[in-house]
Amino acid sequence: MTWTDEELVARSRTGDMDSFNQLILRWERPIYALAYRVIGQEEDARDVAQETFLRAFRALPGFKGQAKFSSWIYRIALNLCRDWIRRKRRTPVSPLPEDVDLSELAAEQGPSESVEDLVARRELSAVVEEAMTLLPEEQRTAVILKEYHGMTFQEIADLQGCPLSTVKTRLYQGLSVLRKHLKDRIPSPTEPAVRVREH
Amino acid sequence: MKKDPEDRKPLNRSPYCGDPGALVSYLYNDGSPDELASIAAHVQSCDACTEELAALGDTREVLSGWSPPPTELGLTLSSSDALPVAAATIAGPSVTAAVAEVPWWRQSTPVWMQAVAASMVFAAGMAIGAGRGAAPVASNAVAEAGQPAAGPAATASKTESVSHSELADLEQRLRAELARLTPVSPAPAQTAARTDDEALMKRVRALLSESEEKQRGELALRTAQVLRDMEIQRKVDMATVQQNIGQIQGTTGAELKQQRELYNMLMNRAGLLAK
Repeated sequence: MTWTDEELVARSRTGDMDSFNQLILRWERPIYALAYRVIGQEEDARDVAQETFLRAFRALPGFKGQAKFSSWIYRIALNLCRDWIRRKRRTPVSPLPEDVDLSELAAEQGPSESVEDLVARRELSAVVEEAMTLLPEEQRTAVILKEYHGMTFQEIADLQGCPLSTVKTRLYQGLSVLRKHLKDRIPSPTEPAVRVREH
Repeated sequence: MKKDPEDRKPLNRSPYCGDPGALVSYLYNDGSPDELASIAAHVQSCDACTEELAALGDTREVLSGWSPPPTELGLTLSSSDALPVAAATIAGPSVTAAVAEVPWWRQSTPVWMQAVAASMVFAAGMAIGAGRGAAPVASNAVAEAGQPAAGPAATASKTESVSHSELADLEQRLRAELARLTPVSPAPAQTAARTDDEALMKRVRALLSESEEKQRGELALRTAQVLRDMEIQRKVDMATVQQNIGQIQGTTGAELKQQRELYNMLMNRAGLLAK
């Protein structure tokens, strides 16, 4: 039987660890993805995800279900990301290493994905990551929440604590900056060769 | 005055034209049905907005290619992680922490302390009241009746002396009680703090061991990967070498055969000529 988030939260509040671990299993990947895209460090994103669930678990007695569990946990994660960015005081999203480690590529290669596709995917990710560093934190977060987590404008506004119109403006401005930056780096579909990284 | 490029867009009379909010709503299909229908009607008749939306759509398509590196998460919480929660809800470190943040004069006083204080105030009041009530009676009695007033005055004096001694005794007992109880109060906080420290240390150790375990696992995986790559490369090299040797051997054999045939032919011709 599949429990809803709310049911699992209720069971967790009675001290049922298994229920909370089910919630972790359900939400660990989106939270990790969010943290990774916001802060850009794989290992730190893992730590942020772990800390998010730890804090959520410890704060469960105070969670009365005013918001959805997902919204609540996203808020915790975003606060932790913000703390991380402030603490580090450096470029939030780090560029990928110049050399592509083929052994790592081979390890993450899917059964139906060729190495060429994999390299292209990695390079595209690198270009987008680089472009994302150009955005201010609020714009980047808004773009990430909308683009990769499918949140509504209202949900983003609630998470960011700003009016709905501000969210829309942030998205528009963020997308415009990304568009200008990516235009020079991503070839149009008619171009034969992929010219992703310029050294 | 220099105009912003955004201002130079051909605008029509629609309130949505060039409006970032409207464009983004339409782009993400996030808005009320009426609003979206109105924007759609405008976009159909506006080349600038259509172009802008197409460009933003292309950007979104590129963004969709960004995926975080795949990683094994497997995050779980164990019952040891729950310790601070249990302490927070049962023993009350949160309460201790909250108390620590509140100035001492605003901290709530335990009931027993309030009762003791009330008793002391009551006793002091009684003592003052008794002192004020007894002295005038004695002086008045002496002034008005001289010696005959000795009886009641003596009684009053006796009552007063008993009250004072009792009060002093009571005060001493209360002070002793306070002295005995006061050092006891920090003990639970210290115990709770010690429990917190132990839990924290336990958690740190668990995290360290988990991290070491993970690093060992990653190292083993990486080593296995390197060995596997080397083995594959070795096999490929061997196959190439063998193939090359085979080719060389084939080439050499063919040349040898040709030379033998040529030699045979020459010998045959030489034999024929000799005949």
